[in-house]
Amino acid sequence: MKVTILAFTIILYTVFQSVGQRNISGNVKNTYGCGMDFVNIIAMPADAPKTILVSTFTDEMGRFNMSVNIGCDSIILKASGMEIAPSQITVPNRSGSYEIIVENRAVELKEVVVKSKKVYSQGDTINYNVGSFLSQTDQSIADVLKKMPGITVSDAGQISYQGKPIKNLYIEGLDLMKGHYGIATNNIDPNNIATVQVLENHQDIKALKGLRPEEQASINLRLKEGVKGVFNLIATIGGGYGDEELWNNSAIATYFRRNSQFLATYKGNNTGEDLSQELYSFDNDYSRTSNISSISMPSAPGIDKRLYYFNRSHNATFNNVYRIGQSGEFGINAAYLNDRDTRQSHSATTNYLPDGGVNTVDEMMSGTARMQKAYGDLTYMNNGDESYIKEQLKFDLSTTDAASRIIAVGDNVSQIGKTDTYRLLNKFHMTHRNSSDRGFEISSLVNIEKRPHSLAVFPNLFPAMITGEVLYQHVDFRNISTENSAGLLSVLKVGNLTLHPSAIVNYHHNALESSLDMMRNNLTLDYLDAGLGAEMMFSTRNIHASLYLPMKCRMFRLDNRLDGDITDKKRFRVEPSFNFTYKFNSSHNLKAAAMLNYLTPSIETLYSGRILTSYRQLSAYDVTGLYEGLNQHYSLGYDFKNILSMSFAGAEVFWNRQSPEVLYGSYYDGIVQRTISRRTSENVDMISAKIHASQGFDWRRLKIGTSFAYSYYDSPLLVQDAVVRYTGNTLGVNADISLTPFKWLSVSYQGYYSQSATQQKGYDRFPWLRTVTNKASLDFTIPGGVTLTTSLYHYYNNFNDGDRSFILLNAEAKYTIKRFSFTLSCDNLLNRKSYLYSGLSALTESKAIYNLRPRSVLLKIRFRIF
Amino acid sequence: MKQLFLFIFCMLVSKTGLTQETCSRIIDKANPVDTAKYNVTYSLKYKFHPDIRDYYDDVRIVQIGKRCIKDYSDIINHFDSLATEQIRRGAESYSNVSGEPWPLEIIRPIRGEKADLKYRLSISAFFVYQDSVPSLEWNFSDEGADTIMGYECRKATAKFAGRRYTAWFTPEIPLPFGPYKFGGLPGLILKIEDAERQFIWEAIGFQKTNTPIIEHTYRDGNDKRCSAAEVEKTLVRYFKSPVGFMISEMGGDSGKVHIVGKDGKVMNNADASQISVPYKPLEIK
Repeated sequence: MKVTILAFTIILYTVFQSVGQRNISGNVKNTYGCGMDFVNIIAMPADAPKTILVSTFTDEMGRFNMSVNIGCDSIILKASGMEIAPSQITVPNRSGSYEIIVENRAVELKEVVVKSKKVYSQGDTINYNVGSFLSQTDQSIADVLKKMPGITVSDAGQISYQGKPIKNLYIEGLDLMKGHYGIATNNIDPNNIATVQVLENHQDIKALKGLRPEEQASINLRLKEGVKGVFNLIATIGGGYGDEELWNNSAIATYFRRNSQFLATYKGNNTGEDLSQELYSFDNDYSRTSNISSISMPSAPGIDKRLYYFNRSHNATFNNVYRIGQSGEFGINAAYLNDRDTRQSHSATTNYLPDGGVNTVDEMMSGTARMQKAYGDLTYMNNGDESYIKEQLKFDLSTTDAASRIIAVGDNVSQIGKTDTYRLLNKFHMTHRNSSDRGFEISSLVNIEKRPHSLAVFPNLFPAMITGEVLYQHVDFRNISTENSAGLLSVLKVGNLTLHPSAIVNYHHNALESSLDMMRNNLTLDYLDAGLGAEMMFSTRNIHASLYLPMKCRMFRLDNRLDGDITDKKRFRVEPSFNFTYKFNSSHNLKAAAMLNYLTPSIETLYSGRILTSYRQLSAYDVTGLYEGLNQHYSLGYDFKNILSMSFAGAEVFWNRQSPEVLYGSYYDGIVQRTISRRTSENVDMISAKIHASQGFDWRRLKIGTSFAYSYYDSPLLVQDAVVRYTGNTLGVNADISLTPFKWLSVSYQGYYSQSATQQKGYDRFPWLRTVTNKASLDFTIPGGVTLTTSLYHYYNNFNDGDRSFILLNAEAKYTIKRFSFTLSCDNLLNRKSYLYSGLSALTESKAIYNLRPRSVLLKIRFRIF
Repeated sequence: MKQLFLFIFCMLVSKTGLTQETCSRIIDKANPVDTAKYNVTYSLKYKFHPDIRDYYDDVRIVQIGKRCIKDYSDIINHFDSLATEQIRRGAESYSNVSGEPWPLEIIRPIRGEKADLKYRLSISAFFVYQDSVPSLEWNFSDEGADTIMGYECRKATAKFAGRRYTAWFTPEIPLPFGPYKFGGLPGLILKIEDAERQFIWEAIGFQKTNTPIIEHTYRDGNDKRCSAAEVEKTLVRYFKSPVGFMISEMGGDSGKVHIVGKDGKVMNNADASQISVPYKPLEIK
């Protein structure tokens, strides 16, 4: 019986199930009768249209088939797909075949873009996503780099990472600019750059990878895909009015490919933009001659140059690099600058004398300097895995003509000065390494330089020593130098210890000729450094230590050709240097360094005939022996970075001690000043500490950077034939903040506070000199796409008489339509006429009033030609 | 090139989990198989076993084309492309992938039941295999809708390979797809998780696109063609003793493996070989 009931129940259930289960099929066609592929079909009860019963998709022919099991009267069949407008039909709740006609129409979708990480790391490479830092008003890659945590950019375009200048700036792995990369940072359009890569500890010579660590970081700019192989030409023309007609024009052409790159620029303005600083070379190719005498011009006040620079400047640069073969490249860099600078100032310089008295010189100056400068560099490099060769030929030419008038203590002085420099520099570097890390390294430098300069002064302020109403002086300073070293790589390897021996031969020839009335100088200083050195290195995964011990025989010869005196000096010198790095992990890094070297005599302090170093200073050196001095330098530093939290920080402490054998100073006598010298056994000590931190935030693109620096020095000073000791303390705090609270608003702020004081031993400390500099700018975009920028400059100086605070205001409006960008700017809105600046250094206090550029209006149109 | 990895490979291992470096691969051999019309970006939180407390994170890209769908790790792809560029520029070695992305890549046809998968197990060779893509029986829920990325979502549940999944899909984007092998819903899956919350995918981006769907052939030719069952067996063996597995993969030379415990101290390889890591596969057959 039980079995019968169970069987009956199963049969009934099956019957009801088959009755409840409806098979609904059909097809979906568009209005042209074509079957629609991959259309969603949802079945919903008509009385509860939010409930999904079942769903399916159409096949390639637009057919569908589904089973529905519900007890309602009718069912809604809804068809939806990406290429059709949603459509629905209501059908009776029974098995059947239906046709759904749909209209072709793409679904409008709201896209959600995933933001890339702002900063991420990969090994020793830190990648900054440019899009995450870019604002509408950013004109150059420098503007964006400034907002990246851990990175700072100077006005000249020099980039520093973790407080230290970078070694190279690459664009897509090619070193287009060589040392002149300020042109690139100040001109490359940030919209073309996808990623900024910081290459930490980047050894750019492949053959030295793993053999010699590199402390400086380099930066590589990675371009957006669409930019590669595209010629860009962006031109700007601008005109306006201040107290004269103003113009500001530029053209920037770029072409970047994997195998060749090109950047050419032209800029011209009389609106206060300094074009010379872009052309600085960040290579350490320092000049080996200097101006012995120079025309006195108003010195630069410690404010933004754009505010006081009355200029007419033009510069043009050409930079090109080609890849040759697998690992070679050839580059050409050339530039020309033409600049005229007119300045006016009224200054009072007070020197505190050992007897407690003071010597004050009051000067009213106005002057104009015209400068022309050109350089050209040719570079060939082959950077292979085993061999490296770099040959660089550089020339520099410059000529400066200056004239100024000075009213000082009743004298009306006119000056004319001219300086020419000619320089040819050749650098060669070759490295070869075999598979067992052995090899050699050769480097050579040849420098040929000539610097003739002249100074004419009327009237003669030294009638007791020089006859004549007009002083005319000609000085020629020449240098021929060659610095050579050849070394072996890893000649000895024991465990983690390696030894690199080297030989050094350096030769310097300096010649100085001068004539001022009857006073003449004609002398040469030659010195030869020759010796052997050894570098011992200990390297593990976390530790790197190196000790370099060069042992040199140093020979000097001073030939005073006027009287035939020849002075020789020979010394054996050991100048050790030690470096130590401990890398705790990828975040923490400890560094220490120590160095000892000797100061070499300089021809600039060896002439005995008088030279007019400025219109009111006559110099000659009584103590004319070949004196040296000892220099010791010690440093300890710590770096921290956390890429995930975008935190960068570091601290460094330095101690520097100099022990000169001769002390140089001044003897003041009213307006005039004489250079004096004396043997000494005193030391100069300087201790400084620096802490810096930089933090980036995802929130509103906030970046906060700050640094704190303190220095203390204790030094002897020769004044009025007496040696006094003085000490100084300087403290500086720097802050920079950038923030984009909304897409239409961005704010940036830079602030600097400095406090310094000096004290002569046995006397009271001078009052603290406190200065504050605040720069803030606010960019906001109003409806219609116009971006308004206001910049506020605030300077405070507690030594100033009267008003100690000084405020300047600039405003700018920018509108971009298609490839045109219009900028209307108004500088010095408050029309401030002059700026008062007070300073204190050693035992010299100065106060000066500078003329400022007047209120001006300028309209610039920037447009992309290609 | 593999030799380079052997010496630089490191593991951080403890009884509760392991951190392993996923090797970057050179992706200069590419074959476009389709053009993606849509890109969906998912954040994936996953762990090897439900009992492990911490999740690993990955960013997954699901490219939807006309013929196929590819699901891969954006993190791994990023490091692969950097490594490729470094090698192109002449570097001798390159760094491995940062983080612990899910080392699985899957390309499956829009219609069809077979998917091509690649699993990158640390320094070991690639596993290249095919696996089935079943049609899931979804049960739709009338529960209140959630909103993800501004899209209103409906909820549905299904059983798949021994786990019960809950999916949030949006009929506003009528694409019947999702991450991994999931799909078949009348709208794009914007979130899906298993009942034990061992795997959680959630969409964080959706874009129309016109980019190629690329199938990479890796330069070192170390691809191991095998079956899905063999991959699963290998993974079980790997998690039973990750260190032992690694040493045996290197031909038994334990000197090439450098083991660092979570406390930062170097571990004896024999001790480290005893440590197993809890593992529960995504698909419990």
